[in-house]
Amino acid sequence: MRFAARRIVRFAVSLAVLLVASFAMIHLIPGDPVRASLGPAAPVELVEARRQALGLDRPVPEQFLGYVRGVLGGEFGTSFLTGERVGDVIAARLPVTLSLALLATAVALLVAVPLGMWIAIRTENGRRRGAEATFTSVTGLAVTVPEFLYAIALVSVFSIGLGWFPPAGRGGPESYVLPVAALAIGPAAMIARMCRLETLRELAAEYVRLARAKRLPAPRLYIRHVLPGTLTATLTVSGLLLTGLVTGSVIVEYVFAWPGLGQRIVEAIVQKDYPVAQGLILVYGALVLVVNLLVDLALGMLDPTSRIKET
Amino acid sequence: MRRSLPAWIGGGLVAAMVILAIAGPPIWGEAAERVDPRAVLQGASAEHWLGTDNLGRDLLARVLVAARFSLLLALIATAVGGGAGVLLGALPSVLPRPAARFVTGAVNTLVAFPGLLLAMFTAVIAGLGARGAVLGVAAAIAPGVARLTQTLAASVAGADYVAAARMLGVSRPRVLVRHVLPNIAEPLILYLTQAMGLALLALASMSFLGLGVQPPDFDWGRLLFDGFPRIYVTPVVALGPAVAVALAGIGFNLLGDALAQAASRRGAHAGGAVPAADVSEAGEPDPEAVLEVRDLTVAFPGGLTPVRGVSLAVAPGEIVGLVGESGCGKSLTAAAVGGLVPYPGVVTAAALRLCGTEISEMSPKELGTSLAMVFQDPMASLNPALRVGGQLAEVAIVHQNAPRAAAHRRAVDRLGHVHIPEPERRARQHPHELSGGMRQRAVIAMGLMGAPRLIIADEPTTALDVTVQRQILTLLREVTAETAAATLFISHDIAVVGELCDRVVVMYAGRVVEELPAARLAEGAAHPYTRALIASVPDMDTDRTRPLAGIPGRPPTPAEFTDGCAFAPRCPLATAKCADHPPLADHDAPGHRVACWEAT
Amino acid sequence: MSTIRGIAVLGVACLLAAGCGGTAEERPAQGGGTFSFAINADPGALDPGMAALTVTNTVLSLAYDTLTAVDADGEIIPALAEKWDVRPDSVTFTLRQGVTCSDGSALTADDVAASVSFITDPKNKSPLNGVYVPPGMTAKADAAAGTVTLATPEPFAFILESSRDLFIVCGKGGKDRSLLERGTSGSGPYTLTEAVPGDHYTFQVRPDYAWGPGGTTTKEPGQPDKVVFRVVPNEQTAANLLLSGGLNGALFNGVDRARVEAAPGVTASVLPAGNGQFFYHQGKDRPTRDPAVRKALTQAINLTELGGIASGGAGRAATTLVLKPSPCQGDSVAGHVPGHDPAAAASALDAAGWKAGPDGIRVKDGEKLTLRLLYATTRSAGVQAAAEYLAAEWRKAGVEVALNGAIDTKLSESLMVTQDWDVVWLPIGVNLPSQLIGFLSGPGAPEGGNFAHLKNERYERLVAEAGGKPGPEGCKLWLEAESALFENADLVPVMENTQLLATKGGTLQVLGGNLRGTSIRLTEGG
Repeated sequence: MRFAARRIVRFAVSLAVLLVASFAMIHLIPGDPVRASLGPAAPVELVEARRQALGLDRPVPEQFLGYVRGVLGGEFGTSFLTGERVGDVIAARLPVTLSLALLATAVALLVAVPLGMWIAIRTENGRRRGAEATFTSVTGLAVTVPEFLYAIALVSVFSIGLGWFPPAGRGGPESYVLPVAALAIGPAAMIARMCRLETLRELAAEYVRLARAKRLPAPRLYIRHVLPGTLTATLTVSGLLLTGLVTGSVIVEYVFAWPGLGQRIVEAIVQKDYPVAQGLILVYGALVLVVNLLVDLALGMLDPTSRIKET
Repeated sequence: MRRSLPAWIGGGLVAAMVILAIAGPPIWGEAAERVDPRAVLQGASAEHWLGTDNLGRDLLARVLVAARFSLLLALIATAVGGGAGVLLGALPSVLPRPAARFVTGAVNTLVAFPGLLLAMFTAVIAGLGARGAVLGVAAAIAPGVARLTQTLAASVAGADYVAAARMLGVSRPRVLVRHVLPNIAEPLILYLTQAMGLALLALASMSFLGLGVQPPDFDWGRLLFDGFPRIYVTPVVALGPAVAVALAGIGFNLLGDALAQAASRRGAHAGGAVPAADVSEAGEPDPEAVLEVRDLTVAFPGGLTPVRGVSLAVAPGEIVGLVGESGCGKSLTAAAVGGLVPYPGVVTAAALRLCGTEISEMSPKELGTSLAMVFQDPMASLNPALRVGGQLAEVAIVHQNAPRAAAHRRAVDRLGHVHIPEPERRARQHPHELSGGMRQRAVIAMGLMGAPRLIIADEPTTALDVTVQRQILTLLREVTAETAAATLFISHDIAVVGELCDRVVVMYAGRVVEELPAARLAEGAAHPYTRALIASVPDMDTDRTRPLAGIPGRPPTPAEFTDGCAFAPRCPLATAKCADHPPLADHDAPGHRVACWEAT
Repeated sequence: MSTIRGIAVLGVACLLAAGCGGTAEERPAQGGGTFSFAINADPGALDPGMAALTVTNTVLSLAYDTLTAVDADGEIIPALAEKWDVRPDSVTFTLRQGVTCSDGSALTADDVAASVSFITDPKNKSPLNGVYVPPGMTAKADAAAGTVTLATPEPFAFILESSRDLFIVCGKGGKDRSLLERGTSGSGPYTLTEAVPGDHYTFQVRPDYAWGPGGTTTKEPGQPDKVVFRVVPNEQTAANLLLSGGLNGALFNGVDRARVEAAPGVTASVLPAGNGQFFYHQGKDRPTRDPAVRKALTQAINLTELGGIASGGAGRAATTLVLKPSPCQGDSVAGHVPGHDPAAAASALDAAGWKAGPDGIRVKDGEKLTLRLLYATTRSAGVQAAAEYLAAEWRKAGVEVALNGAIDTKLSESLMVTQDWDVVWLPIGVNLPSQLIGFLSGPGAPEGGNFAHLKNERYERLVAEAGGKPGPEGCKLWLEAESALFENADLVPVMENTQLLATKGGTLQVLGGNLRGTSIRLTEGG
């Protein structure tokens, strides 16, 4: 429990730093961010009005306090573009992005972990060299192919071509299949590769050798003795990969017209809609920290030794 | 070299990309800019293999020309990110501790953030366009590099030569530059090669979303941005740049992988047939012996036979020591008996019997309960993730169909039996909470869950303190006596073997060279090797003014095995006759056999 | 917050005149059922008095009626108004009886007057003020007689036509406009039942609607119970949805047109979709203030090629500045725009004092001839390509061009307020020639709407004369006025864009950017 408490404290500190960073983002823009968004010849009154709207005319510490107070109260400012409250945008779009990312994560893990383990067990010690080579090259390729290619290919084949799934939009369960698949393939390949390496490492461990000496049946051996060690290392990598799904979800949301955060954040950056960009980057960053926290806590439960290795 | 096919492919792709980057614009630059309003938005045709864009420009030419900009941007991003990362990672080693911890913490936090997020953050600040995207991707690369540099620098900084330099008063920055950085250059470069592939993909993604390169400049990502809306109508216009990006990314990945493999020098298994073993007749099982091994051979592809024709027998209640230098094949012999020889090793024997039954014909249940194994490293033998009690209990659960509660009770009982205090508490703990000696006891207790007929202990005390060693040895003797099991005790330490065992089997270069009662070891050893081993053990009376007695030369590796006596090159008694392998023959006393022409 | 001029917003909005569509989860059925149409952006706030975006008007046209409507030939036909009496500076509409609002209340003459007054009240800052509603228009209701009189201080040529696009708000929404943010309160054939911003808007039919344009009702077989507008920003996605049956209709501007048209079961028609054109800035100290320079720059470009590039090959020759269906049919372009003649362009520039420097760029009095080209970077890549083409061709003529692609809001700010451009690619979509006057004459931006600081006296004279004549009579003059602009190279018309209206499993009519609610039909199949 002490471990969990310490980890949560670290999370809170990171969150605070994230708040500072997202606040500072506007101030780090070289020159005047207001002028940058208005153009060099903007009349003074317009610049001043915009500056007031952003609250940039007050002293910095006061601005920061106002910002933090606002964030804690759910106020993230107002979009320059549409006049919507950024908080509303987040509330409406975050569940969409989350549902996509979480599902893709689950699918990737459920497919990749058993696959990686299975391949490792079958190709241990150089057995079935051909299978290993096939696995390595296929997954290697799968990792490199960008998400939008998967998305396009899936839509072309399974939606336009075969008509099995809807090509876009968020609706019933069948509309989740293609976007989740497009998002999950790359990470699944990565996790499978990682899992295979970890499983090989586990299989070479002395305690597995001893468990083999105990003549334990294969399923018990692999699930009880090999899997936990594999999982801990795989989880760590997966944690990073899952937060990397942020990237993928932006592109997938674009292709499949899902009303998630991804659409808006790209638009906001391109159109210099600073309140939205700031708010969404904050949300994404917080998501990352939360995922990492959960992964660490899960790891702490699974692998007691990692608790004492905690720095 | 066969295995480096990926390396060749990777290297080839990268080389092709570099050539394209250099030669592309001069050759196709003009075609890439030529506007042809009559050929606007066409698909693939004989004239334009990849179609045309909104201005009628040939897309194939544009893809080829874009290589330079794409690669250049990726290179810059990697260089900037790598440089910043190395700086950040090296900083903690030169800063005072509080500042160092701050930097370390910051880097660790940053590493957690996905690249695109950092890139978007930077893009907001630096603005749209190639510059912002490059800075963004560099910002995404830097934390990973910093973390790697930190780790490497820390591991190097702990090295002796660095400590020596510090003691000599060399300043921290100087130590960093002269000692640490050169040693971490190699893994860093490998990492950066792969990072370059990732940078390429990241920049393409940024441009694809519209955040990166802006027209009229173009890179592969921007071409994808332009071509993507047309993908359902004329797929080739998007697939062209997509394939280019993918190939470049794959190339760098493969190259980085291959370089990493080469650096870690992972040996390839030599191919080839497994040599056939020369096995004599099995004969009748010996009713007296628990373990009966006759003519055991373990062979590996490539003609290697680390164990050749080993025969031994162990009676109930007897402790037989199997002794020899590292690489003599004793552990492999034990593994063969235990059925644990890894692929692609092949085990052949005239007889390999446990209590009269061939081990290969025994069921897992029988083996699981009648065979107990104890390995060298007790920490590694027990699964760190599982509780001790459970690891013992599962033997009973699996092989004896015992219900969980009963199995756990037996586990606790066995733990107490091996003199572990508070066995109920210990059973609920994880291995890392027990001391080394206790863990080894637990492993022994695991073997006692069933009714072991054979205990194989492979260097069980080597990793333990001297005082704990004694306790374990005593425990082994106790257990062997009470269960009337046969114990095969493997060690390189002839002194320990002499103390614990009833009989000693000496192995050299895969063969048994002598077999004798332990009592005769000190004075009655016949084989020159055995005698040399005995002589090399210092005792309280050894003359300390003279150098430690060792045996000149070294034992042959399995690749160097010959048919003759393997010890001959080092043997003071060697003659021409020793070119023929001497058989294991009875020596003067019963139970004493020697394989040597010259043994007296 | 900022001083965005309504007209400029309209002009920008026309850039968004692209795919509209809605998608429905349910499969369409016959008689009853749901018709789904794709729109390419969220309509935003739904107050008709503040709606400037085309997409908003598309959505609103289901829930609101106008006093008059236009048929396929461009003729004005009755809608809410049964008949009308037109004078040069006023028009009196006699309202149809028995019109009810979506909340059950009757539509009154006061409702009509209030709708107009809301727009003309400067307090409300309606972007429609002075655009859809002529400047200074007043509305007076005579509840007893059931008439409304709209009057303008000066005679206004298109006073009748201006009623075509005025949405009439009635019922509770008329009294409390805040209800109109996310809801509708009109007399139209459908009423908004569900709004999920950014995702979809669902409308329910009003079965007793019987006062559509030309007397149409919602009782015809095939009239869907529900209409869903689905926000699909991406045309490809809309095309995919249409082809796979997830959508009944959408508008297409881009490359997906070809495959949509060719797909089985799809009914398609080509609609005009505004012009592609560009303006020169004629402010003080601008190189393009000199008409000789403007003409030369225009001659340096092959406008036919430019049009092909800008429209991706899907455009037609431009004929007039006003959106079709225009009250004044005719061609004001042909023969009036300086033709393609690079040699003449070069000598004209030389004569104007711009001599080529060592790097090929022309220089005059130590200043390089540099033009900042402003354009909107919409999803259609045609405009981007057009800008690059212009830059490349002008570079050949010795002009340095800095491309400045901007998005929507930033464009209108740059256009009107910061004015940091010398050439701007700006389609202006207006329905009446009179709506152009504020852009093409009068005080320059940011004080007025004349963003390019034009001062074409012949144009001003002609439109003043035409303004005194009622609509169709003055058409010849309106067209001549446009030609005057072209001859002076104040603005250069390049081509007319088209868009494809594609439907599957249903049909509907789109006229002037608005849906005809009573024309929506679901057919079998889908």
